[in-house]
Amino acid sequence: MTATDTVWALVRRLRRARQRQILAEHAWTGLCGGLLLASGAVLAVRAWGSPYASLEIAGWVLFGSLAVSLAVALWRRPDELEVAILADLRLNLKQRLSTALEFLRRGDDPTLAESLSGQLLRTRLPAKPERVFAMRVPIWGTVTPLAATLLVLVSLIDLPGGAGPAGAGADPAVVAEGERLSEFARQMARRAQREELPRALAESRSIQRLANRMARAALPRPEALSRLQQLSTGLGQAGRGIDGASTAAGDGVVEDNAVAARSTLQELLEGLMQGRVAPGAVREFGAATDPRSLGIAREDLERALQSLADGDDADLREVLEELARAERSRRDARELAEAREQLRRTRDNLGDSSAFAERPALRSPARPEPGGAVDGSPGERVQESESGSGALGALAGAGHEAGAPPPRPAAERTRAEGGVLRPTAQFREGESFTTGTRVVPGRGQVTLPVVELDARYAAQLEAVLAKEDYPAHYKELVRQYFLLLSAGSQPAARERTP
Amino acid sequence: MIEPERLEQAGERLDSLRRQIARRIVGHDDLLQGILACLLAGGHVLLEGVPGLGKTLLVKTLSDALELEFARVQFTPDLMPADIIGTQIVMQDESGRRYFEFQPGPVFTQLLLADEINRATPKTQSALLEAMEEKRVTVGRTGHVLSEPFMVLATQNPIEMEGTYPLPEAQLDRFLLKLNASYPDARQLAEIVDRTTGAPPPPIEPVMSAAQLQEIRTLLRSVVIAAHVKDYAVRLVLATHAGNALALPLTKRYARHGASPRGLQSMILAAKALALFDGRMNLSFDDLRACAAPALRHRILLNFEGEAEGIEAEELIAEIVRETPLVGADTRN
Repeated sequence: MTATDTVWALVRRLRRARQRQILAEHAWTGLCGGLLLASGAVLAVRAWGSPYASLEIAGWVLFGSLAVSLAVALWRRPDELEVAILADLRLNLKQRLSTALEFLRRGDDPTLAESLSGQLLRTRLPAKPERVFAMRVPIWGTVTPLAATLLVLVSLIDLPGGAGPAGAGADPAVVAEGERLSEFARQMARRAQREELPRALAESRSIQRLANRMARAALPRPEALSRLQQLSTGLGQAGRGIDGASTAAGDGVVEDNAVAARSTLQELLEGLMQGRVAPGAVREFGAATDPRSLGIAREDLERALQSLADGDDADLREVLEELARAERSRRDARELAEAREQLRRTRDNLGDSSAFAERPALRSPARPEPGGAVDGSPGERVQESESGSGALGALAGAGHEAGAPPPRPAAERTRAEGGVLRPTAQFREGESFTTGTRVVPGRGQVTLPVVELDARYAAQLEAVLAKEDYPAHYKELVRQYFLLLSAGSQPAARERTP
Repeated sequence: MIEPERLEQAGERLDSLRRQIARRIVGHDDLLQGILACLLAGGHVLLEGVPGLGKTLLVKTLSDALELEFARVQFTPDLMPADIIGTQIVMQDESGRRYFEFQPGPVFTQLLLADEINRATPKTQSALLEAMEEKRVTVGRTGHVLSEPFMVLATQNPIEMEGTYPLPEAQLDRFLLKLNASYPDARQLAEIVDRTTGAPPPPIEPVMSAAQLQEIRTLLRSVVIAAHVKDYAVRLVLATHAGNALALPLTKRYARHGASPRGLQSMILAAKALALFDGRMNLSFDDLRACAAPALRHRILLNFEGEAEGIEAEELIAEIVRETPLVGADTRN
């Protein structure tokens, strides 16, 4: 192998090493720049809103930055002479390599090129000269952990209130729902503070934060729905976590019986301590009441009564405290259930088709006897249908039993009527109504009209929905009424493809 | 083309020359290197330094080691051009016929030491112009070619400016390098005392003939320079011009005139000599950087502001060398 061949081989090795080094440096730069840009993008999305989720945008920005950096690195293939000059400087070769390469490339004086190559090879070259272009972390690489931390922080930390008014592209439905939810969260917080419900108080703050962001249009509708869903799931878990209360809160009839029983027991015990009630009355009540409703074991109650008879009221006080704790837990769970329902309603109003299916079973207008089981007789209680179309599916069934024509299967109706159901229901003798609703469509099969609640009716609707003494199905009627009014006030219902 | 054997042989001869000179001269390594670079490049050198630093001895020693003719002229205000280049004198032959005959002056030598050149009048100084540039003198209508190699080593005293005539720019430009003789340090001073106050100094043996010197000069011209190295030299020189885009802020503020093309030639030639000393057949950035100040310092003229603020051309050159990138932006990292 001649000296010129050796020099050519050396230059090729150096060039490959330099290419790798450039790629690594650009990758670091792209990563760091991408993280910084992604942080900026997340902040921008938070401030001005976007139809896409902020983390999704951050991901695309990061990916784009990396791709551009690597593309630039590949496009910037180092020239052989450039590499030789750099190697000369780093290996202190006194420009022997670059001069030899220049004359080699020129090719007009092979003898001189051979001499210059020989001169280069006579110097003490390192065993692996390509190590001068070893992989290294550039200055951008050292900043990368900071940039990553910054991205995590801007993703986690909420912007302070009033970070910006709703932009031109703000979704009015999201803003309206945000304002409504915010008002609910404030009321929930007040109740929780008044009644010392710690879990409800904490969750009301979470709802308040989310509602504030929705109200100032800082969240696009998809992200708002996603966060509502997450919050709702969290509330469900929190409700289940409250000892014993969630079960009562989820079953209206049992709950009412239990509340009444505990309340009576508490009054009796307090009267007993004050000497107004005889211990026998308490024993009788305890024996006659369902143990589940008492919220306390009969043995404990008996022991407390015995202790009181012996002159020690400590056990009785403990029983009373236990009853008070159970009552607070019940209220806590009830607040969480109510909050969850509000979140579900918000999702429903924002067009989340799954929210409708998550509706809780409606309460019957006719209360069953205390302690009695809930029967499924039509006209007294509406239950969820197996088809997943919810209460209104059952309503259709009720109408059928009352003499209305038999309903067609849900799938058939969906195909025939374009996904809009108008079931007729009869609750009592002479009372029937027809309403329209949406079904959960098959993917890409049907289109549904989206009717958004007119802001003028929001306060009235909310006032009705907030009243606890209205049966749930009446609330639904009121809701549909306002939705129909809203649909009538809109120029044309927008079509959407789920 | 340079053959490695010739390069090696030249290196040995130059090392031998240095060793001979070092037998008599203490220190002055940079000065000696500059003088040898000038000698090999075929240029002239202007030495600046206070009296008593051994400048004259260095030149005399060099002539002894090179087997070259040596002449010394002490420049004074009353020195006339004819005292340097020679004159026509009337002669009479055996038949009684009178005729003019040219009597060569001290310039007809191979190494001419023009001591304290700035003490002579500009008229006398300019008498050296033709000799330095064209290696010939013209007396009357007759031109006389000087013998090769011919080299002028002029000295000047930087502190005694009374009664001196600063060299005109045109003449300064003809010096390949301007070298500053520095004061020896303590160790060198002690060595000088030992060598000069004891036994007589050892005789200098000639180690290089004029022919061998001429051969090395030819070899020097064969040292190659890569395009990017040449580009760096060009950028260095252009950066001395205040009006050029490459000029640095300091240059723009204090420089009136930058280095001439002759400055670039001088820098390259001197750098080639340094490459030869190093046994290389190619120029490096380091060679150019080492030669930038000696080759350019006497070719940069400062403006009034620079003179008033006591700025030295050296400072401008140091800034230029420091700030001018070696290569293009792509290969700098």
